[in-house]
Amino acid sequence: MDDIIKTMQISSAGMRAQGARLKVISENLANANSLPQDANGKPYRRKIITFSNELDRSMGLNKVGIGKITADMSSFGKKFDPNHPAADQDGYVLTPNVNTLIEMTDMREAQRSYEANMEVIKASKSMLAGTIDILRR
Amino acid sequence: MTFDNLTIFAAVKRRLNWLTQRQEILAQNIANADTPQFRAKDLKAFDFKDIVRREGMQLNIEITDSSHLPGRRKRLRDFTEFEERRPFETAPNGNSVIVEEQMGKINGSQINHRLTTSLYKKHLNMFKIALGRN
Repeated sequence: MDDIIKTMQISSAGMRAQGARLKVISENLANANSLPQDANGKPYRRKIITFSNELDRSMGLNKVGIGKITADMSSFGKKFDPNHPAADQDGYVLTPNVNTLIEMTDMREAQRSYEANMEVIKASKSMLAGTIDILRR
Repeated sequence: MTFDNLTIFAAVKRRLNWLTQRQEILAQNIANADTPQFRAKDLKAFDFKDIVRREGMQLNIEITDSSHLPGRRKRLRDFTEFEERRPFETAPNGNSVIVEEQMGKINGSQINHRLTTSLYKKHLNMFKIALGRN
């Protein structure tokens, strides 16, 4: 009985982690076209979230935790647009290092993992209901 | 004659314990399905030895004086868990959790749980018949 409640807490920690991942992905997607303001400025830099396996000491469980949100240090793209205020002397503007396709794939993965956690909660719930059902006549 | 001494009830109790503990481990696997370097775990299969094994094997530290501190032990696990040594596949980031496999296991333990609780109910009904209170 106690273990099943813990199961639900583990799964909800997993769902929380996937939610945080989705937040970072939506940030990246929303800023996929955030160009610099002037020639010295930098465009939006892509963010990456990492997960870690952390021990919850109060319950003795290995939950999933949200690690550091770091910046993707890969190089920016370039776009030829001489009329843009941030264009350099050759007429190029730096563009964010966000690849929409990668973000969409990541989003799908987060979505599926979220659903998997939800299914675990459903399974645990039906097991708990079965145990409680013993008490009924 | 206590309730726990009856074979079926004792077996059902241990089986349910095993199932709930396994569910906890499977949930950990799924929650960590995207954690780098995470290895999938599972419980050792439930067998006859587990039914026979007595509960009183685990010793707790007794507090006999008010100035004694409660011993801080590792959490007692009834059943042993193990890491999947040779996983079917491992992701490039070192994660060996296969969500489909884990979902299959969860469904399996769900069905087993239902079977066990039904067995318990059936057995209890037999007692009720014997008591003439049907």
